[in-house]
Amino acid sequence: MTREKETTLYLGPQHPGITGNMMVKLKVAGDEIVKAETHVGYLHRAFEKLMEARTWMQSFPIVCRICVPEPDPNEENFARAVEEIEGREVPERAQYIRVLVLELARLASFGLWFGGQSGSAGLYTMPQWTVGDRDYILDLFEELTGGRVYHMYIWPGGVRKDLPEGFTDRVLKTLDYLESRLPAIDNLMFDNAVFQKRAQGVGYIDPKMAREWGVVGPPLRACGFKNDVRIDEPYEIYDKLNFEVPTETGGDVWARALVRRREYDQSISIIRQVIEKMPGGEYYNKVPNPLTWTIPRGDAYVKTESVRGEFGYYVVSDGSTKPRRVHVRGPAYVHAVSLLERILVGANIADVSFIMNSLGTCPPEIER
Amino acid sequence: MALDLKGILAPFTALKQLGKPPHTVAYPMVKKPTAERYRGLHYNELDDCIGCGTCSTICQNGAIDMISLDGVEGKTGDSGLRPRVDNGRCCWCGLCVDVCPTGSLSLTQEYLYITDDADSFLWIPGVDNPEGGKLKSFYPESNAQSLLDYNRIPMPELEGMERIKSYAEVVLGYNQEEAQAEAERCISCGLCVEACPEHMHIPEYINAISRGEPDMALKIIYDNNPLGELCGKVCTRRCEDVCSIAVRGEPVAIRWLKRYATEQANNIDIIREILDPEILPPNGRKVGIIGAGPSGLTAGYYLALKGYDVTIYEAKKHAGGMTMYGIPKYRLPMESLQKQIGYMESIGVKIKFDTKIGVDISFEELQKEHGAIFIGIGFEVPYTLGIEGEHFEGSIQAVNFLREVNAERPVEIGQHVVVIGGGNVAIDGARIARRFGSDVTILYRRRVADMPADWEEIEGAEDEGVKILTQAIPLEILADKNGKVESIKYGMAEMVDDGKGGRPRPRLIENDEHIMPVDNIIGAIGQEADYSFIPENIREQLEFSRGRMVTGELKETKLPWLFAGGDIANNTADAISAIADGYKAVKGIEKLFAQKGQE
Amino acid sequence: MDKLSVEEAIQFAIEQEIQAAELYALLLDKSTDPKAQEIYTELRDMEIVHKENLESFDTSEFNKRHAEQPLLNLKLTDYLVEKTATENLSFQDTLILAAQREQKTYALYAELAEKFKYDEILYKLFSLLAREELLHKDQIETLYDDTVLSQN
Repeated sequence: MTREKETTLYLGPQHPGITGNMMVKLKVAGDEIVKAETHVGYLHRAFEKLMEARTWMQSFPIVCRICVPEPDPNEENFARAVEEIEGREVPERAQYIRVLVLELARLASFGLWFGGQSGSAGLYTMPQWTVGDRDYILDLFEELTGGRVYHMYIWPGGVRKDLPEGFTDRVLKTLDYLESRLPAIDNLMFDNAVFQKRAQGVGYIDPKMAREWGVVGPPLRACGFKNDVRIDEPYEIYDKLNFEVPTETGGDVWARALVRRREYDQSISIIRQVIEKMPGGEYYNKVPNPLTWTIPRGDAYVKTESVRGEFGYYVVSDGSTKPRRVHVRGPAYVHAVSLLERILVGANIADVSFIMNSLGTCPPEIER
Repeated sequence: MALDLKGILAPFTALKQLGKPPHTVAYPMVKKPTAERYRGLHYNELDDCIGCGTCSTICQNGAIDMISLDGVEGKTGDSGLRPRVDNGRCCWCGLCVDVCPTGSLSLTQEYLYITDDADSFLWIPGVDNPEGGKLKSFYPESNAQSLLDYNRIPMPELEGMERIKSYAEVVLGYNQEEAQAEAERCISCGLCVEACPEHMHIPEYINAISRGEPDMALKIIYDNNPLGELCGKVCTRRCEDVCSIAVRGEPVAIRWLKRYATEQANNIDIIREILDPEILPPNGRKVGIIGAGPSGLTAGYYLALKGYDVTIYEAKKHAGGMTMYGIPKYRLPMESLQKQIGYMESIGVKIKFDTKIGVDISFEELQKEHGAIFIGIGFEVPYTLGIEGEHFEGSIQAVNFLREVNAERPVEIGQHVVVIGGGNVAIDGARIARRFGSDVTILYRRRVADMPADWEEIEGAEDEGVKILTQAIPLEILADKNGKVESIKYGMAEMVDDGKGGRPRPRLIENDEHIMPVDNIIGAIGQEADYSFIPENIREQLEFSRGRMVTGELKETKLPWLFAGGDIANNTADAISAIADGYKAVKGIEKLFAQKGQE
Repeated sequence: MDKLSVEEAIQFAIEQEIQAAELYALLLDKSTDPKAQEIYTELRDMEIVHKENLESFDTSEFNKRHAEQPLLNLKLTDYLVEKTATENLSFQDTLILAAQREQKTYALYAELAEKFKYDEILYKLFSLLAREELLHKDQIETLYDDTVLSQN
């Protein structure tokens, strides 16, 4: 059998199907990928470095920019790391509000994922629906934080402003609406024979490899592992909530989609619990003057369960008014650099974006 | 493989969606209103803004710079600058709004600005969008939402009735934790520096305190004020009046922080060790200073550091001038003053005590002896009330009363005392009289708000049981048949506008007179200088205005070798202005000798 | 002084000013206090200006000159002890003396205005002069309020 001639293809950095500004250099034989190389550097904004030249409070509006679809885990991580080093208490109400924001952000992010995952398979109706529905969540964010995408709301000491009058009622109403849309989404995507065929067996990750390579989030749970930071190392008030960690065993795009679909239900349920249990009291434990605020010498590693998986911040203070080092560890670093290169081998060109979406690729996490 | 019929048909249910009306907004025909907290373009209330520049400092994008505007003049407490926002850089995080001490800055509902002129992305909020005031959406609704701390760390003090039992210092001072917490409130805008007559490096020493480095703070303070501890206790602190935090809250306790930093060095040796002053070798230039008050001491200290041969001539037994003989010991203890002056002497300032010019040494001799002379004699002669009966026994003057008490000479005072005046001298007199166990009432012609005295002094007096009777004009002092004060007649005043925007003036209301029985009347309406020690031929060559000597920028007079400072040469007549005068005169005297050297 | 022409009345007023100016000049000469000297100089110069104004006074300008300037009238002279013009008055006493002199001159003109009520021009003239003196008293009282009474 003669081997087909190998061609080099560059997917990205401006390809409409790709997730953000990154590039995958593909070596293909026919339409089969022989070798894949991730190339980054198109998006580097030096967030980590910028923070070293800014005070603790000035750094807070920077972190959210590391992820557009789901900025809030960054804010929450940064705030919690600073609080942990300083030993600052956060009011209980603020912790509930933070979880409310984090879970709403998950829903909003899932809205984009539904669209991206289906869209990259040619199912263009889905993005029209879910991105539109996501805007109802953005409306809630705008009302709560003053911003639709970058919220700059969770900051050290608590949250920036209290819940507006009647806000939780509007959240519940929006949840009801989102839930009412699910049967249609299921019909179009998950019950869709074509989608199933496209997704099953594609982008397979071996459970052993998942462990060894440090895969996190839905891709890990789709390999049968019951890992979730919210359960394993609960932060904020997750230990007071009741929810299950969904798992699948397929390890492919389909399994990951099913995990995400169930996590969508899970988030809705968590938000309802949070609203039900929302305590009164303070929402902010005021920090000192942001111009002179120093954090004692020390370091902290904190992590949250973002929609793409475990999201970590390592923050070091040398006791001055500015961070000595802020290191961001996003899931995409593993998923889209080393893992992606590996599992693309043998895949079809048409599935590259499809697989990347299923891994939750987000280039700014690679280039902080 | 079985045919997945459901899987093939299910997606077609999406067709149902076709019959539904769209839920998107028909932009730009329809615009969705933004939320109440929306963070849009900036707006600035230009009249409320004081140009402190904190918005510019906090902006992590470097999007805000401070520029001067036509029609906005700088004044004390207002830099005259206003923020300009580069909307090409702004990220609308709103930190600038959260740290705006005046609350003038806000973000609005507006978010659209389209132009082909990139330069016009530089906006001056409030100027370029005057209508923005109606569209404010993101602004601090309360002080609690601000990132700034508007509440001062309370200063520990003796309790009111405890105080009047002794001359113990009323203010107890911050400990390190309190000082650091208070220092951290400062936003280093520097408006205070401009307001301080001596332009002390206020943000710098406060920052040093907030970093836990009081020694560094002491060094910074001594850079241009050798009486930092004195100021830390009794300064009139115009800095705090203009503190940008004070617009919506309590000013940073600048005075108490200075006090904290200076008190950490509690003896002369420690001060010397921390400051490690560089004293230049003697340059043979002799300067004579008349009066060891704050202005003379300041001039003497910095001249001595520069190698000048400085002699201060003091008529009294102790140095300090009015701060020694006029300010009660519960505000400025003797030891504190002695320590500061002792340190000055240790670096070479010579003070000749009990030496009165014109009596113990003639002015001419002084003139012959020294290349330059600085006069800092202060206001020691009290103005009289000018009313009938002032000569009766029991009618005294506050400055004399305070001087005798401070010199620890025996003083007698009756049970019922009236103090006339509303300045610090009056309050001091009243609070000292309380320490004699007297019932004290202050009669003041204007309102409490018009009192020139420090508000904390007024509060302190009230805490100690001093009664204040305002808009009361003393008309006559009545005596018994032995010529001893028996009562005071006073009339009530109405406040009239002077038509020029100045402070309202009291006008006597006819036929509204009252009589108050009283044992002693203490006048404290003001003081003036006594220039009689200056020989007439020299006096004639000098210029005077409203009782004060006219001096130039470097406190020089019409005579090149003669300088003057302190109360006699400024309009504010307080310790910090005197220190500022002394400091300026140092430059003047240096310039004089430099010119002499060239001749 | 039952009958008076306008010219005579003005001449009378001029003489008043000259007298005052001479008094202040004399006191200035005698005083050794630089603070009082400054006030005497100002008062003397002020009286001379008034004299010059009166010399060029045009009766047709009455109405124009009558533009009302509000009077503060702090009534300080009402209760301050009367001062006599002696050598070496202090700064404070100088001001009191001056204010009291203005008050007295005002009273004199007010009396004359009352006396010549029947003659419209004379009445107007004396009323105007009286008011001028009150204005001067106001200025001196204001200065006293600002300097001597700065802390009261």
